[in-house]
Amino acid sequence: MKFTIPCRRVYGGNAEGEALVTRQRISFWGGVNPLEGKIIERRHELAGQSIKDRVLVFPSGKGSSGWSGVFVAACMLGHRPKAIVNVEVDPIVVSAAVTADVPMVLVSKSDMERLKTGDYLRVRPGEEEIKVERTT
Amino acid sequence: MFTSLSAPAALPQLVESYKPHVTTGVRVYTTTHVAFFDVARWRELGVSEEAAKIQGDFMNLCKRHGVNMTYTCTPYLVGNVPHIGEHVAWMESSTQVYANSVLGARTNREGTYSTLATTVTGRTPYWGMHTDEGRTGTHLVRVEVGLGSPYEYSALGYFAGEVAGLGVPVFEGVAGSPELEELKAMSASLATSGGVALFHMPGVTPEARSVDEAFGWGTPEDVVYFGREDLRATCEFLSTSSKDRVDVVVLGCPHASLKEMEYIARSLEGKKVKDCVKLLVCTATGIRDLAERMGYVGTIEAAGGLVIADTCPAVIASGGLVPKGIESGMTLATDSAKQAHYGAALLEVETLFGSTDQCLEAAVSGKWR
Repeated sequence: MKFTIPCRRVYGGNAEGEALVTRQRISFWGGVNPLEGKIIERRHELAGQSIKDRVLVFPSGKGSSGWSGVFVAACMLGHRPKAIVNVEVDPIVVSAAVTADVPMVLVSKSDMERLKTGDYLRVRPGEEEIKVERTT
Repeated sequence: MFTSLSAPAALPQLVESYKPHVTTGVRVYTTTHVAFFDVARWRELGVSEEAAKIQGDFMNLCKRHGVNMTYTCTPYLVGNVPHIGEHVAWMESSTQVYANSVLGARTNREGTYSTLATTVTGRTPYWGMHTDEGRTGTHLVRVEVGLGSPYEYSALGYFAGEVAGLGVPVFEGVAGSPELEELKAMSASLATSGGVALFHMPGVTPEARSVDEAFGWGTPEDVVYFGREDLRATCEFLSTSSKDRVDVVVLGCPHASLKEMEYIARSLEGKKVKDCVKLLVCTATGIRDLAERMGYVGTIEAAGGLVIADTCPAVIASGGLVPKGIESGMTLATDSAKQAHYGAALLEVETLFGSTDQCLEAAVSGKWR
């Protein structure tokens, strides 16, 4: 199945990869271990999942403003995600995306809800769209 | 007390990532957020030479460029106190909420690097919290339970942060006048479960004199109630341990005020912390100096507690360092929703969340009651 959803560019250019999707907000500081690139917030629905090479789809950041520091450290340690797809702009996430040079776009809440973990996303900020391919 | 054991730790990467941004002198008055360990007592606390050198070199670099190394999550207690309407660029999520809400200053939720950019340019983007529109209330929280101590305000903030997300909660029905310590606790937890940058509490916070004014005479997106049952459920959610045995007690999240240091010292006078329990009281170095002068540090440490400055257990662990004496699977008691929330993940401990008195009693008896 293939479909397209509209997006708005926050930072960066084209990116693509397998989606990791959650309806829950994410904290990077205290929520992701930068050494392993895994989500460690115990009761988060993505607990234990790796962020590496994924297009991260989540409503927005939350929590500590050490977010960007941990995100950049995780990228330096080899766990760079391909892109960030959010619904709302949390400045600490923008600071992370710009510093680590990871593309970031915004989508509507209802469009985010159409995405599933495992979808292959081609993020095309210039065309203001994300091409979605679902094989499962 | 603290040693750097885990290798490779994230500390070198974190510090390296800041360096390229500290290349020129600061244009504006700048103080710093916490360090990865107590920079004055690192040797006696058992931090490795290597880790101390990384943090020490970075501190010297910053000092050369005019950054004031306060190393605290409560800069407003040690000389960085913006006034109402003042545009600032702050990092540390609880200080952002405190600065916006309690002081009425204006900052967005800035990250590490955007804040560094402001120190060297003297500018911050004019949007969000810097504008009147961005400061309009979004969620109404009707408080229907009496709140009498910091941990209850901490629970209220944790509850409301989850509801409000990146929004601006407005609190109605808070009886009496919360103290600085209660507003400090609430500011921290609002930006733990959520990403709140600002709240209004008409009658307490300075910007909106009424609930209607807080919403710009508009309608809230959502109205929620916080009653006795919600308070109980929030405390229960933050307590993951089913045991009554306590291994570690952490107070001072966010960093303890002088008043809290006094309270903790008075409560521990003539008492002894149980041998098998570690009591850590975290504060800013400036507050620790005053607390030393007043004999509070002496009293707490004579009882067997340890007063640490510049950092806290969760922050130490976030640098990839291992706080000695805190092991995976232990039970950690705290009066801070923020320390409980992050401690569970970063320190891999089970948590007990309750009042300062409950925590102090647990430190002495080793039991949670």
